[in-house]
Amino acid sequence: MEKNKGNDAEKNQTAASYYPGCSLEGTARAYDLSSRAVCRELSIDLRELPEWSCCGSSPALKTDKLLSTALSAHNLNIAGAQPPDDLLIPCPFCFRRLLSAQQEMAEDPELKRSVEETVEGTPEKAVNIHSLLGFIHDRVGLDAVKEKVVRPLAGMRVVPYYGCYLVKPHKTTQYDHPEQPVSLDELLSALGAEVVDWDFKTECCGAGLALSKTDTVERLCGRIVKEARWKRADAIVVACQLCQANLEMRGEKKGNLPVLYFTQLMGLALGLSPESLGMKKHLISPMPMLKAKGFGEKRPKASRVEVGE
Amino acid sequence: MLRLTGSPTERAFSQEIIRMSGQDLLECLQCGKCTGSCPIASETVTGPRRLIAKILAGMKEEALKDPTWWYCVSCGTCAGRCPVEINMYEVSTALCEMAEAQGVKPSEPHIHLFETLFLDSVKKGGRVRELKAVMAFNIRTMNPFKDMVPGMKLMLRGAVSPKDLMEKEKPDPAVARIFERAEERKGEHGKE
Amino acid sequence: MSKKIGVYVCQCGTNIGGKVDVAKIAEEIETEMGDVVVCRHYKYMCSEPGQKLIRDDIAELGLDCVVEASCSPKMHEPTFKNAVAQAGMNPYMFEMVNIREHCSWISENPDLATKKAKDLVRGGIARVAHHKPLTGTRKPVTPSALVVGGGIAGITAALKIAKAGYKVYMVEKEEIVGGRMAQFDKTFPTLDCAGCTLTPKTSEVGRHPNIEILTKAEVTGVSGFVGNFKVKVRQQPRYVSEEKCTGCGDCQGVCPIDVVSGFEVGLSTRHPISRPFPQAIPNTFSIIRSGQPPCQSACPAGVNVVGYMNLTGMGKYDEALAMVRERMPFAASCGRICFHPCEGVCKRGQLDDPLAICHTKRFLGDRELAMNTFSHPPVKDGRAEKVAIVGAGPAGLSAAYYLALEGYPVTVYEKLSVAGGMLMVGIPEYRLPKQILSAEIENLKTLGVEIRTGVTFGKDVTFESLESEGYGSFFIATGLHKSLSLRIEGEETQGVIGGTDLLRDVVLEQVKAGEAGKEPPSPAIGKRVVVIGGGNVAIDCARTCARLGSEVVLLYRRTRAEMPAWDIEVDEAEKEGVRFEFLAAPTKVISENGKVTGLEYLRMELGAPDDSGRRRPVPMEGSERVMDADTVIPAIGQAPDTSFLEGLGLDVERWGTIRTEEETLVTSRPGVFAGGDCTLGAASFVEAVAHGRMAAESIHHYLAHGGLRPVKPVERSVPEELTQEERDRARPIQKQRMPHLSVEKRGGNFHEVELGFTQEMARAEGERCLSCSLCCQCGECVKKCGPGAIDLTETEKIREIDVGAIVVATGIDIFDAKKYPEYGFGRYPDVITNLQFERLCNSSGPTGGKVLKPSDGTVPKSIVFVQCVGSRDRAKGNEYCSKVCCMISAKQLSIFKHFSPDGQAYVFYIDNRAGGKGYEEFLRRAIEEDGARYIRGRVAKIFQERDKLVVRGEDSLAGVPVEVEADMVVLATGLTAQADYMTVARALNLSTDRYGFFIESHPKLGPVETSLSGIYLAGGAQGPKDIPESVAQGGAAAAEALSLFGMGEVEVEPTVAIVDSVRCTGCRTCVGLCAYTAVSFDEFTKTASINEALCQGCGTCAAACPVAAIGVQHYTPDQVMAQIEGILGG
Repeated sequence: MEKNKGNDAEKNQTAASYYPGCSLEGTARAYDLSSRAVCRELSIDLRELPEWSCCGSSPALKTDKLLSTALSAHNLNIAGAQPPDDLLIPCPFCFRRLLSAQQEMAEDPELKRSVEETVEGTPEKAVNIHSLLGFIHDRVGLDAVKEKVVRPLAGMRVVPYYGCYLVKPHKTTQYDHPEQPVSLDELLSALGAEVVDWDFKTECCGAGLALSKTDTVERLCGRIVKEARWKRADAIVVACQLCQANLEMRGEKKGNLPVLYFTQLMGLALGLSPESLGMKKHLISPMPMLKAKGFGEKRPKASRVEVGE
Repeated sequence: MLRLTGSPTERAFSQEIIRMSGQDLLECLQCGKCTGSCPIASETVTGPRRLIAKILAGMKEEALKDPTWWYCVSCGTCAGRCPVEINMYEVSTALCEMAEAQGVKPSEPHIHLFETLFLDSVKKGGRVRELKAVMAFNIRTMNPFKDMVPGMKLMLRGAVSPKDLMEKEKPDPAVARIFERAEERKGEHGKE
Repeated sequence: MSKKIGVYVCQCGTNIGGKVDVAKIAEEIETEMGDVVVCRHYKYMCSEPGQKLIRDDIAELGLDCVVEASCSPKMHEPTFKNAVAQAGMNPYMFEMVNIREHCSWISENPDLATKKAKDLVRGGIARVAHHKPLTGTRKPVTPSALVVGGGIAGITAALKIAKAGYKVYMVEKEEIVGGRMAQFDKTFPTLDCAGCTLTPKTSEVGRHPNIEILTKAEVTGVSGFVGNFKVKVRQQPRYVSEEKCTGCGDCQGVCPIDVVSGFEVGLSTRHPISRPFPQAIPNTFSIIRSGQPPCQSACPAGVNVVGYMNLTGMGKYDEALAMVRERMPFAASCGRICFHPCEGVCKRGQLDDPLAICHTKRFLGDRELAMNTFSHPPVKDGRAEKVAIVGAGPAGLSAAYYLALEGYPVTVYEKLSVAGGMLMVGIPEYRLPKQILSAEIENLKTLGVEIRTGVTFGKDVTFESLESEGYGSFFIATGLHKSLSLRIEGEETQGVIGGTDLLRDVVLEQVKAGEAGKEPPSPAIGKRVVVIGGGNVAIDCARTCARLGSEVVLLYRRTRAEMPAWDIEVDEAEKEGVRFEFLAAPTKVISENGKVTGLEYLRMELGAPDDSGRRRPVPMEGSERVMDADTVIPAIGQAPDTSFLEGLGLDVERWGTIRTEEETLVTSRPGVFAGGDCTLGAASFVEAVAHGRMAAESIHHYLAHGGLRPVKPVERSVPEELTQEERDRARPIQKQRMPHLSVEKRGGNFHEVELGFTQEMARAEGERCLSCSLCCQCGECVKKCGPGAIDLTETEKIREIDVGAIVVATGIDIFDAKKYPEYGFGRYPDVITNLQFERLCNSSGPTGGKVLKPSDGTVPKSIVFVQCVGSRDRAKGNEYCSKVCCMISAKQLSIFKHFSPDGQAYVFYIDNRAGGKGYEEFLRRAIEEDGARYIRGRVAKIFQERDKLVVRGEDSLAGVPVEVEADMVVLATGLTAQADYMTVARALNLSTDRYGFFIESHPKLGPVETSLSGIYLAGGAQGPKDIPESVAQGGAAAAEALSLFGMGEVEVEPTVAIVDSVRCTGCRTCVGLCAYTAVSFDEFTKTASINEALCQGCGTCAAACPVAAIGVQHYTPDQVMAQIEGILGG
């Protein structure tokens, strides 16, 4: 099943709508860069939603259910208006929020009505919402990814960190497992990395409290990074820009443990240069580690057909 | 001292929260697995179980002032572990909406401030301008140089661009309108 | 004539009176309904004064029938039936109407409730007018009981019944009785040793003359009725005789297999042959076996593969070979040419690669030949009867081997100049070197088998001639030697050679030359050879010709995918330069002056699949082509030599093979048996050997006992799906690859291509075996056992038992803690369940009674007990409280404190449930004296931080989150229904609640009865409970059974089906439908007849009868219609 999917993805371009979310054009450019680059390598033709807006994030979710649902619905309508049936979202919060908005409106007609009145419209079609990680793991498939690997991440010791919004609550995200998720582990081992199992995969980083309750976030992140270092990891690998920022800025300072997006390491394994993946945009630079592991400089890709270039 | 008289109004508050949040708090066993799971629970922020207890006890004022729901980052950990599958961040939203509708002064002004600034930014330009929001927050909290050093670093490395700060956001009428209409309907529920 | 009816409406206090206006109903009914002579209402009709009202009216007013409107019939119908009977009225003239559950309790509206109640009463009155007096029959009770489950509840029930002097059958699923309690260390609240209190009971059960224990047994079905049950019990073999076993334990030392111990809850391993603990009852060893392993089932000869693979793994090569020889005399040959279906089904294949079974077998054979010895079981004393075997192929020679071992003088007659049949002349040297085969045949001769080659049966010797020489029995195994013809033009031309003929000639030449010590002359084949066919023979021909230096093309009408030949063979042929021409079928042999010059063939394409499942090739019109050839070798299959077979005067099948009886191989001629290819058609070597052995058995039975051998039952096979336990058991060893002769070295010679395994390789393969059958039946323990108590040939038994009463005490299971991934059970060795903790405390447990960390065997300083794991958790499917966990943890922590006084125990709990005599006090002692820290809160997560286990939760009384560093975590896992509760429920027709616990007949008043009279519940099977409760319920169940036996008879209700024999057309529709086998067809009257004892009055037959000839008494159409009309009449 997965394999087949992988193979079509290989043969013909799969088109998918793309909803980056605010952070990816703000503080998380590296995530945006590497996501687009990796999708190109996997022959996924990303169609960014025109005029997409913020999903309201936690502030809207916290303070005003209607507003929060409406902002998500607004973007779902935009997605529903363009051809692809699949909508890929790198940001786990946006992913969960749009997904649960879709579910809530399906379950609660009254909410649906008032939301549609608020956004003045209904979706032309209901799109299938995927997190970027989920799409790559389930739809593209690990076999297809393996086939594309040209520089296995041999000797790189990583701890996968899923955070919350991707897998919790399971009732909403319906993805992987809230306590012991494995998809990122599997993807990273498929890339040839040495994946270290640990119990902090889904421990919360403090998310949106970074600014308003910095001490809380430092307490949480400090502990996560400490444990990762004790596991002798070369990097923490995340799928969320909020986790990335918090772990990097609010985590245990000493040790300078890099916190990388899974898309960055994926790009590396698919033969892309660290530069092109935003590796140089990090507060804690991964370059020393990458150099030490022999991934420092761009290596010309061995006579491989560039898809989508 | 709580004094209960058996009058039906004693349950009005909890029933309203249950209605607004869609979470049947009456099923709560008070087992505390939620608070044990809650990343923000601490000596001072007492966590979901205690909050539910207050709601069920009809302690409206205390519940609407409880810092727990202000801190709630909707991580969903409690929802996944709760033996009766109560989703607390739905409850947080209900309490927040009611508190605002009834003009209760936010017990966590900083969190409230950040969230307000965030949404203002969205309202203005359809998307949040993180840096602007951050700057605004730091200034409003009399701490303009917070995270200055890392901020500069990031800028130098091109992770963020000064444009984000300077550039004026270009308005998104559709989003602005959504805010207006949502405003009109605000607290349709939650008012007494 | 109208009947006098009395109607009585009960208020049931406010239960009915609170809603239904009974006074109004009584009044109206009395005035409105003609037949009603009296209608009264009363506060409690079931009370003595209430009943007296009815009795007096019957006496004074001479009532014919009585209607009672009150609670549910389940509750009080017996009471009132009894009352009217006392007053001399037939109880079936009584009708009960339920106006409580059906009216007052379920309605908010008094008026509607009253209206409905009145309607129902009217219905009752209308119905009762049609009632007829009925009397039930009485049946004697079988005074013996079946107790299902040998736990403490079952034991208690069994002992009480047995002591009262009645026979008890105790059916236990496990090897021993004692149930869960046998695993416990101490019991709360007294801290008595569980073993010390239990073992006296178990041993009493074990020795009580009235109790028969059936271990490893399960109830598969029950028929009959109260007092007269027929129970079907399936019993797995123990393989160790309880009489002979002395419990010395010598068998343990030699058993090669280790599996996870269920009794030790995974904390240690056990051998398939073992005894869970020293005082176990039955106090003998037994063997667990999950069934016949797939390899053995797949092997036509039924060789015990798992057995010899494990022996090889132990380095016991002689024993391993002996095990092969039990069913396969030619290990070395078989190891080279067998098509090994065993490897295709090997369960290790689901993990990595299947075992290299065939190559390992070859190693065993080669090893012996190399040592130049021949080991075989002792030959039995010589017998007089001589046996003649026709055909020295694998079938004939195998028969000869097994007959020789039985002590028979055997002579084998072979037409060719060499023995071995197709093995010798059909399989080329490079696959099966002749000296290997010859050596194995020579071995047979050492057993006194005489082989006469060059003798043609039917010509040189005949049945008659041999019978006159004193041969008592014959085995015909002449094989298939005629090549099938292509049926195309020019086939008879010189240069067309049958495949088998070619192979045979080549070999015979080689042999002849070998004897003369010269080079064999190259046979009559040319430079350009075309072989036709896709089977192994075709490949053999092609590879042979290639070796003889010809250019070879192989023509096959389908594609490579459909070739019946083995892939490895095809690959090797390709390597050796054979060219393949697929989708091509020959049409004509082209010749010039009598010599082949070419072959005309048609292109084919694949059409729809034929009955063999392979796609049928269809010719493409006008695609004829010609290829040059000087030799054409058809190898499309073999046929029996019909001319020869007809001569024998045996019945033959349409396609010319000898007709035999499948199980015994006996032919149409008494004393003559046949097997191998001449009965099967072209079949495999191993099938031929299987036939040979089968024939030997049949012939032995025929000669020794003058009859045909009985057919043996087959052992059920092990589940196909690989289990986690088997995965964990698998030793991490790579599959051994067979070394091959390099292609360059193959040309122009017939040197063997596969070079064979080394000893290390064979042993490694042996160690890879998962022994998925658990016991591998290697027989080591049998050899070791002094008293000879072990019999591995035992098979599962089905028993039918007659009992009067059944006590169901199947007990409880433990919640699977893996359902809480956040607790890390199964991830961290030091996170264990409380049942595992019991084993740690138990002096006969894995640590000899020391509380030690499973991870490193050190003494834990802090232990955290986690309550409600799988209890009070709706999200996990168990909403109920398991009732015993609070006390178990209190007990276990005090055991821990006694073991290490400076240790600290923590308990995360939600509510402490200590309802029971001395329980609360006990729990307080745990807190006050043992200093346990009780933290109110359900644990959120157990995780590893650095090298510490950390338990996180909320101290909900202090109102803070807490984390506890733990050396060991004990999960207080809840009690659940047995995993297989459904099979028990089905077998006994029991109803269960949504958790799988069996439902009692009444939650308050019938805690041990079920809805089926005569079947009673005891212990955890009915719901979570502790030991004293289980014991009490066991006693109560026994009392129920005993009172039944005391009565001696049971009343069989008259509400059974009756047949109107005039109307019955004898169509038998009803016969097949009855679930209780109560309906049968009377051959004499040609109508259906009912066995009232078995009939449950369910009415299925009545409903199904096309001519309405069957009715159920007391539920006749007129009664039911009248009731409906009565209800609607208002």
